[in-house]
Amino acid sequence: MAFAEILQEDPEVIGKLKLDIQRRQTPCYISVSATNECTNKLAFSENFFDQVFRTFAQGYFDHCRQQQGKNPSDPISEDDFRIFANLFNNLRKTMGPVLQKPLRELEKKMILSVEQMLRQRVRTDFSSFLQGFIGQALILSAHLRIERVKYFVNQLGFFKTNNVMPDSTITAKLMVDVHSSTRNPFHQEDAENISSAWAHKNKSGEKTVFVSIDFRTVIAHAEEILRLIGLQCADPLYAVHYI
Amino acid sequence: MRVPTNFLGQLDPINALRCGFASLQPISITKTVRLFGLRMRAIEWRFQREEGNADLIKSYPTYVKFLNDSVMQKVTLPQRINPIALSDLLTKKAQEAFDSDLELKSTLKEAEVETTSARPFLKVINFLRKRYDDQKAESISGKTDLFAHSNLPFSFFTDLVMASEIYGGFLDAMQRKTGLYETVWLRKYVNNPRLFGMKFQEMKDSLAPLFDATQQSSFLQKCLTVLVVASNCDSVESLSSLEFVDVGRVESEQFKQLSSEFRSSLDRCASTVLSMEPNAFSQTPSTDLNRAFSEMLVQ
Repeated sequence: MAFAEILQEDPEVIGKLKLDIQRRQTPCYISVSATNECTNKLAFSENFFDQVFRTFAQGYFDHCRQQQGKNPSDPISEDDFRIFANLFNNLRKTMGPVLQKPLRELEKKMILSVEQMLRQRVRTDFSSFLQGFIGQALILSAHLRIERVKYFVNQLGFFKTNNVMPDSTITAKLMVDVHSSTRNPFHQEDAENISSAWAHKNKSGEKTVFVSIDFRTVIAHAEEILRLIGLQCADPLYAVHYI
Repeated sequence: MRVPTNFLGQLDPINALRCGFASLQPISITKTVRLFGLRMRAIEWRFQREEGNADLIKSYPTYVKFLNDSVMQKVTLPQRINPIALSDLLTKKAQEAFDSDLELKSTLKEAEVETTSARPFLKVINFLRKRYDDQKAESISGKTDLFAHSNLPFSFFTDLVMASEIYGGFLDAMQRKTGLYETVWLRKYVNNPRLFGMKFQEMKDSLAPLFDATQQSSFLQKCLTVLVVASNCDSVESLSSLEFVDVGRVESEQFKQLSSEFRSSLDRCASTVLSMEPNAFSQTPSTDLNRAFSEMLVQ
């Protein structure tokens, strides 16, 4: 949710939630466990780019070109698409399922960018081309870190941080009793975030709804979670209707 | 490839600003002038340094030398690197960068001899902001070049880019604060030396947390880069001819410790900037990689 707001993903849905909160004057919180998860995810994304760009930068491209009898510093040409295809195929093999989609997104952008450059007859060598992408990744990573401070430290977003800690008994109960499957997995982080909302509800006595856009891992288990611990989990489109 | 020059003690504008203005005090000079045959009273402003402080151009090297010596005290360098020689070299490089930066020197000098508008800060900050925007692409390119010629982690470069983005936010916050004081308050009290002096001091005091936070992260950045670069050199003399930066040659515990301190200082700094200027830092940039990031961060 926090990153959806920062990256302006699904602005209509997030906008509706913000409006609901404003109209009803309902407080909206983010737990310590969720802020930690966000920090970890940022580090995770940086590691992903590290791995991809290192593979590119450490001479794989040059090596393939030399094998084809070409000069590594020549501008990118039509012949290089096969090198890109092999490179991404190899990367796909080394990366877990969670990273397949981001890798595909990066691949699409890089290849479409090369296509466009060639169509426009722009001559760029591979090193400069790659550095353009590294630069974009660095700017975005740095920006996201600043946004983390803006939202979680300076509290300049529509949600405020809440120091309530997850209840370990509830976390354990959820981990044992929520039915996790390949299609709808359930992770420790999800259990901790839901358990924090439960602890807030218990401590404050306020009617509490856990809002999430993790459809596969949280919303899919909403009925089970309600039955197990009496806490409603909801998609932001419907959240207000449970309060 | 060579290690980018800012690793070698290039001019640090935050230090130059602080060093330049921390001790600046306004003095008013009342003159009687004749206008259309009438005798009129005109007030001119000059900014002079508090006692014990020489002018900026003379005090900057001393200030930088002090900072570089402090870096050498904090960082444990390999035995083959002489910290005194390294500090001297970095100070010399910073001095050379400052001396050759005629544009900045002239802007600072103009501010010091400002006489009528009472806006010494704003002019310099506007100049630095413009320069920051003009040099941003080059600065990113220097970092990506180093990424390609090193095996330093991506997060190290994110830290450096974050520091640079925060510097942009720092200038925004400075522009807002000094703009408010210099165009509203100081102008209002231009005929009242007591209130003018009071507001001027108030402005400097309100900027102090911003300077403190940015200076701390700037210091830690220098410690970290000195550690990385010096660990990859065989001698101080070979510092400017590095071909590749190998993280394996850097003492890992110290690298981790300094990286962590630097990162925390950046968070504090961003928070200070945001508390003074909530609109600092632009919207999330729209790049080719936003979707890739979304796939990882928003599920």
